[in-house]
Amino acid sequence: MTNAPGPLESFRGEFPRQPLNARRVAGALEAPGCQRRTALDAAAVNLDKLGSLISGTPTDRQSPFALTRGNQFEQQVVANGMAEIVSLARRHLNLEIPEVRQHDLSASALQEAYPGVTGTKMNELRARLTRQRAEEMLADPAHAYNLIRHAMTRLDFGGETVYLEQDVLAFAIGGRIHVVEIKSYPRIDGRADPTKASATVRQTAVYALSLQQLMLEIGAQPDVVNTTTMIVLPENLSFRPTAVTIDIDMYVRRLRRQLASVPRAAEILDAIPAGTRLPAHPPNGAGADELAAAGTAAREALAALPPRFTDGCVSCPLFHHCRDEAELHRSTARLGSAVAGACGNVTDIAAAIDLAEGRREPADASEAAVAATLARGAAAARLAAGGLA
Amino acid sequence: MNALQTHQALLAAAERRAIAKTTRRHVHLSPRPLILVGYHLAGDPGAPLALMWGTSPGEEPHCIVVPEPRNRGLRFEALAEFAAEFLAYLSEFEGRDEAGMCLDAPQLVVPNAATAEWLCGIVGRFTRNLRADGDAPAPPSVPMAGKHLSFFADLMPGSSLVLAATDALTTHWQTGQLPSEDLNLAALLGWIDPPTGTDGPQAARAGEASPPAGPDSDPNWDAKTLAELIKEWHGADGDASEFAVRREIEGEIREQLAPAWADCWRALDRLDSLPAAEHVISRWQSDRRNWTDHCDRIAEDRAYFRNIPTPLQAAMRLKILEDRTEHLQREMAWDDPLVMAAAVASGEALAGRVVAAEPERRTRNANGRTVRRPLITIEPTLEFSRPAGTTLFLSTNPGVMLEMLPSDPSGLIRAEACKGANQNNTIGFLPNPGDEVVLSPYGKPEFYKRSKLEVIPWTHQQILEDESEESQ
Repeated sequence: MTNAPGPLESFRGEFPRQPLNARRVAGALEAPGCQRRTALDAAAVNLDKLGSLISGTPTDRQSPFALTRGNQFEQQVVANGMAEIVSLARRHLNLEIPEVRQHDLSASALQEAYPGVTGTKMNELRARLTRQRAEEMLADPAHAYNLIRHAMTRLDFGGETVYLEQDVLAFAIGGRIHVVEIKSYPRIDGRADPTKASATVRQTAVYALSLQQLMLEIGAQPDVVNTTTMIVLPENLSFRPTAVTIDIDMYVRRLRRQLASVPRAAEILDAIPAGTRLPAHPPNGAGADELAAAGTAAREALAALPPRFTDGCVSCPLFHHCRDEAELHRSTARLGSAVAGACGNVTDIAAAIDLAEGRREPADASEAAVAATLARGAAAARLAAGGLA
Repeated sequence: MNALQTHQALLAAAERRAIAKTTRRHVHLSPRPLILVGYHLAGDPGAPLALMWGTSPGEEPHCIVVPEPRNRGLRFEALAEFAAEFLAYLSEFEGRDEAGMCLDAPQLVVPNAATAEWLCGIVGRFTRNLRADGDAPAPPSVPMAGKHLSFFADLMPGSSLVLAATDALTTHWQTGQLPSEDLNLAALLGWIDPPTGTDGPQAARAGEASPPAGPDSDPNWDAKTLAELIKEWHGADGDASEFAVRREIEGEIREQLAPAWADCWRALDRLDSLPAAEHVISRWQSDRRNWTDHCDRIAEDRAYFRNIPTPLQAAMRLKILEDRTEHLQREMAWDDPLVMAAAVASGEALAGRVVAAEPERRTRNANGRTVRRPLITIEPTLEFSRPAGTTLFLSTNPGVMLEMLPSDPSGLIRAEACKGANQNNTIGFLPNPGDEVVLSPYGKPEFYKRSKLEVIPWTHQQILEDESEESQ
């Protein structure tokens, strides 16, 4: 019997947890190769709380107006037994749906049938039920549930199994699973905000991939999950839903590759000094001293985890902290991926400038190559200052 | 990112201040711009919450507030107020010269491209076709303002009719932060224009702490302040208490928008400190022409805008967009040694000193005819490694086209003039030994009449759903 907590649990300690969702997995992949973020994600640390604790400022919550609008839209499209969704699915996914037998696997819906199940137990239950529903769907498509909401699937992230709360709906029709995502940003004249649209596609890919893995687990082919997904959005500025279908196969495959190259979280945590752990989060209403002390302790624990600062970091809750660190270390990464890339293995800003001005001898061949590029930039600047013909 | 820009970014970080990317100003600044800042309700670009505008930094800016942005009637009431003043501002630019061209054009200045996209794109798009008659009519000034706003949407590179402050500033200065952080006007200005006693990064942090420049409001402020006030508005009974709540909301919103309003003026000040580049005036001329055309369309009631362009229109637009982008790049490089230096740093252009010239040189061309091809030999200041056969143009006289000849081991570059300096009357344009020259890829544009697209190019062919099913 080993009851000793693993390296992930012991690192998180008493700090609040927050299970991963697709948004967070997609966000983690925007900062590829960041060991700090990987370890925190694999340990399911509540990043928002951690971010506001170490920076001493409250995190940006979502605007109540945006939330209300999003919920209103979702309620409207799922109202009346999903009439809207079903008709959109018939039209855009070419599905024949004679009748809808839906099953809600959200924690609140299961609470009644399974009283007293909470936390990890609830996640396991929901994952087990999701698996059962999928098996039934494949075995007896004519009678099984064919519309699953709030399913719970699992995904391997950095060597850890994380639970994914599925925001999407899944239609199981004709032996295949079709994923439907509902979003509330508008599609204006057939065009949605490209940034939001690409974020949605990446998130949907996370769901599709974890469903594919579920299929493998139950001995089915992964292509049971149709990668042509339907995204439901409000049309123009109204609440009228419209749908677009998009084949996200390419994104799912890319995601699989990216996930395979996520560093092993356990190895990262094994490499840090033993006993490094996050502090407990001070209770609500704790004094400034207590918060500051916890913030310092959290910063110390984080310092053991090597970060990788890139352009994608802006959306990470720890952005301000990592930015301060990059600035403190005078790191070229502070200037963004383009500059950091041009500086290659010269990571110090002062060293890069010295190389450019010829005040420093390149230490090796790769530094010499970087120095040549940087010197060119400096020479061009001198040229311009001297008045270019 | 070219080597010069990398150098400037490193320098900005080391010196803790923004570094100039240009020595000239490449945008036109109107003596009477209209500054516009605003918020819409979070998640709902169709629900304007507030707009603040004005034409002088000294005056108290005008401000409209929609106490319940989801209420269509209140929205129109506020938009009508804005529309009346917007139309009044635009009417100042209706005067024409003898040739029938407007004497000047209006200029809208917004804090960032997102605000321009929201106001001109979305607000313009959804007000321009509103009906001013029938059931629930909109005030007639609103669709008219929508038509004008639509004109200001989707402008071409090089146009100064709408200036997004962050875009204009990042064209002229390089900061030592992430490119995405430059989208915050207050932070960007912190790097460019830190208050005395602070440096760039410090001022940028202070700027980040100020309320956002829009069009999205601060979500924490939404939750703490705005939500409460809107609730109070709904709870108010009677005109007096409604008026009181409205005043309170307006006060709060002015406080949120005032920094962005002031920052827009600061941005204009910074830009104004640079001398205007030579070609700015000709680009503004083309803006004036566009404005004149738009006024004609409005006067004749044929200012129509397509919601979804036809494939042919889209293809045509893309072509013009590419031309204009290239054109702007070229003009900026001619006007500004620092921009040209960036082309030298990237290896596209060649800078050096002429060490020898053979103005009388003649060679045999492919047809066997003897032609005059003057030769110059250049000692490059920075290594130049484009292959033989590359054609470049003299930066001081872009009509002179030179072709690179195979290099010899001496490291000197030989180039022959094949256009613009190979006749008796033009040979004087050939640089002389001892001259410092820059040969750039920016040649004189050839003004052919733009070929009109008549068939949809393959890039813009639409696959009809029926067809794709058949082919499967």
